[in-house]
Amino acid sequence: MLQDLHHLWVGWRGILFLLIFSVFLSVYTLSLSINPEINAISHLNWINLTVRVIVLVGMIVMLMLSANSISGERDNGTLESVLLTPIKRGHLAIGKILSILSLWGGMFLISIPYLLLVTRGSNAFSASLVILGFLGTLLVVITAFLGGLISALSSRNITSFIVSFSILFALVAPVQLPGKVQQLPYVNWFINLNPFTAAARYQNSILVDGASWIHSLGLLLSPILVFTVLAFNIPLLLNKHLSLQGGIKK
Amino acid sequence: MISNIAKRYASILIISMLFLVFVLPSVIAQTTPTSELNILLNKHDISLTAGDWSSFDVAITNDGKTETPPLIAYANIARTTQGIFADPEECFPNVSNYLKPLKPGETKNLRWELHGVFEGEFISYITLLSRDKSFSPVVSSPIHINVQPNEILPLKEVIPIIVIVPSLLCVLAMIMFIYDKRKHSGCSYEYS
Repeated sequence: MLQDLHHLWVGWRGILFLLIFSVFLSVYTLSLSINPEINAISHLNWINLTVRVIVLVGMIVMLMLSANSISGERDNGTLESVLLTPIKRGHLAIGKILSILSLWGGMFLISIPYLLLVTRGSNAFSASLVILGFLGTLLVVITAFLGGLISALSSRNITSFIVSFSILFALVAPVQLPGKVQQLPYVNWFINLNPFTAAARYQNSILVDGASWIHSLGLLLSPILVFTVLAFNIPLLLNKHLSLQGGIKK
Repeated sequence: MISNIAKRYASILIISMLFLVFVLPSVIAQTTPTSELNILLNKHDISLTAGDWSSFDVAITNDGKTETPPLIAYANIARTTQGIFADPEECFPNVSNYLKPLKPGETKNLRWELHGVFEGEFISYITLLSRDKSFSPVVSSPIHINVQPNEILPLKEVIPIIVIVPSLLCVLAMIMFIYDKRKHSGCSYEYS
């Protein structure tokens, strides 16, 4: 893990990611400021949208790096030497994921001045910061675990990317469904069980509807549950199944 | 011969008189509601900030003696100066109201919600239309709308943040890059 952290931060790769992220947020904020059509949505909706955009970019970056973490080494032929280190294979994978997650810490810190700007003139700064810090981190960690798991089990890097991004797309896309469709019983059930859509609903209730923190607390159940299951089971699963060739080792 | 000519003129005269007595009033009657429909607005000037909402009430009265055809009350909006086109559907969520025929003396009260999407000066008006081909549109008096700029994200406050944060990271990235390069060149010297 320390080696990965060193490679990410001392090898200026991490700073470059943060620079690209800050340029993206600058362009986004500028477009909010100069686009007259943005007045078509309320200020609270802007704030909600900004938090969602930051979390979504964080998830994409985490997935991109974690989906490459082990299958990338496998493709480069360097996984063998990594697996020879006297450390449990599950811990090795978790170490890689945690070093990638350190980038989210930087992204979170960089988001603060932009959030201050966007929430200017409202009381939503602290709420949006808590949402970003807690809910955003939860979703980003779930995404990184998912990417890491798929990467560990994929024999090729391209397979890892395709599978990871397809799963993320399938889980995040229902947020864009029209309101009437979201109210259909089965869709509503799926949205409440899906950690990404449930978290988006919770965020919406806090930032847009102004509901209290405990009002829709049930929506946090699925993200917390999925996080717990992944965090406890990935090391155990990869201890047994992480192999040089990929796939599930019997 | 003369009596034949007289008969012909007499018949033309009779037909003309019949036209004047029976057909013309019905044609006139179809178009009268146009001039006898009255659109009354409760506001003539609205001032708001971009992004905010306002509303105005409209009373449509049939002052004529005949029932109107089914009507469409449509809110329109135009910018007074050249600039971004103001879309009525963005400014008015319920841009059209479909009304049942108005009986003589009947009044229909309507409310339009106005969304100040774009900043600038605008003129809005209500138009009464109908599917009936003989109906000519009726237009209300104008409402002058002044939408003040939204100060939530003023450019002068946005610029410092969006320039300073990436610049600081750019400097940091360059320092890290130089440090990394020196470190590696030091290694290669050591081993060579």
